[in-house]
Amino acid sequence: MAPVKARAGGCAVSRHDWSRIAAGLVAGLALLAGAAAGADELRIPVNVLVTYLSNDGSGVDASARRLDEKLRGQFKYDSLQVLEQRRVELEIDGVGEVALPNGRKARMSAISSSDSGVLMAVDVEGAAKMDARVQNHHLLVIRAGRYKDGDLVLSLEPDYR
Amino acid sequence: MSVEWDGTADRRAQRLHAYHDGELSWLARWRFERVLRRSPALQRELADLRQLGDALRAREATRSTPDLWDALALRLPAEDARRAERGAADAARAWGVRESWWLKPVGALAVSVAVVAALWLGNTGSEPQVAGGVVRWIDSGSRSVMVLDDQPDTTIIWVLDGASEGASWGMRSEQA
Repeated sequence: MAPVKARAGGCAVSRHDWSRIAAGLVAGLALLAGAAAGADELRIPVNVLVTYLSNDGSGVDASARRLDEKLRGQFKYDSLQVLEQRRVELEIDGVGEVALPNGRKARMSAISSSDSGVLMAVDVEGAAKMDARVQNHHLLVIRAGRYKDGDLVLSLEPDYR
Repeated sequence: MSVEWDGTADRRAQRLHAYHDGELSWLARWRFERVLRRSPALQRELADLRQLGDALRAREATRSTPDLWDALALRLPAEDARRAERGAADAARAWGVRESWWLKPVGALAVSVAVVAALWLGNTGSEPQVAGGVVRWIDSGSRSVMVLDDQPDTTIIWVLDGASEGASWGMRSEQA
């Protein structure tokens, strides 16, 4: 059967051509979707918890229970309050920043990611700079200096699966 | 003080910031703009964000030193760590050595002992320390630091403001 011809902008386009154009569009969209998915994979979600550790008798916040379990065996305190809880999407080589209530900043950067975890650079202003290879759901707990009558404690947890 | 976390608001704020910073894919941008057109509140937030960005850029323009170095300096030690890891992996492959499971606890123990020993011996930490385990490199300036990684899923980095501060907190690792 002879192909059906259609006129589009002065050019003859056959049914066969249309199907090729449609296939090309589908392939292009699939490529774009793949690229978008790839871009998402390069982001490392990190749960950030800023807490106030003290002996002021106010108790432990429910959302800080896991951190409390980790600190309880190491330090003496009676209160652990959550001041801020965020999820930061770190791009590889990008820098994420968290403003701390003591006026300092905590900055973090994901340098690379592999089966052995995320290599992160962390800079807590006025406390320490460090590089750490952190596995998924590993808690990196950093004392971020004095705050009121206690201490600020920053907890970082990659959460990418 | 406890701050409640609203996941929806958080996601919306992230989208807004990503849109403002030009980080959304074309599809995400198109979808966001559809929502934006229908939401005066979101339009106001975007306008505020743009105003803030303009103000920050104006402030940055008046600074004598650009802040780019900060971001770069943050990455330099990590780049070194990554290179060292690659070098170690290449060397291991060259020798046909596979990672041994028993090295991990030994390494973690060695790091803990080294850091605690440095603290006990009065090392003020003026030199950046290179460590194994989770923490690959740390610089606490003139402050003493303890790295506690005896728990498998947690690493605690306790930076002390003064030499006597650990005693005031009643650290159990010191009491043992």
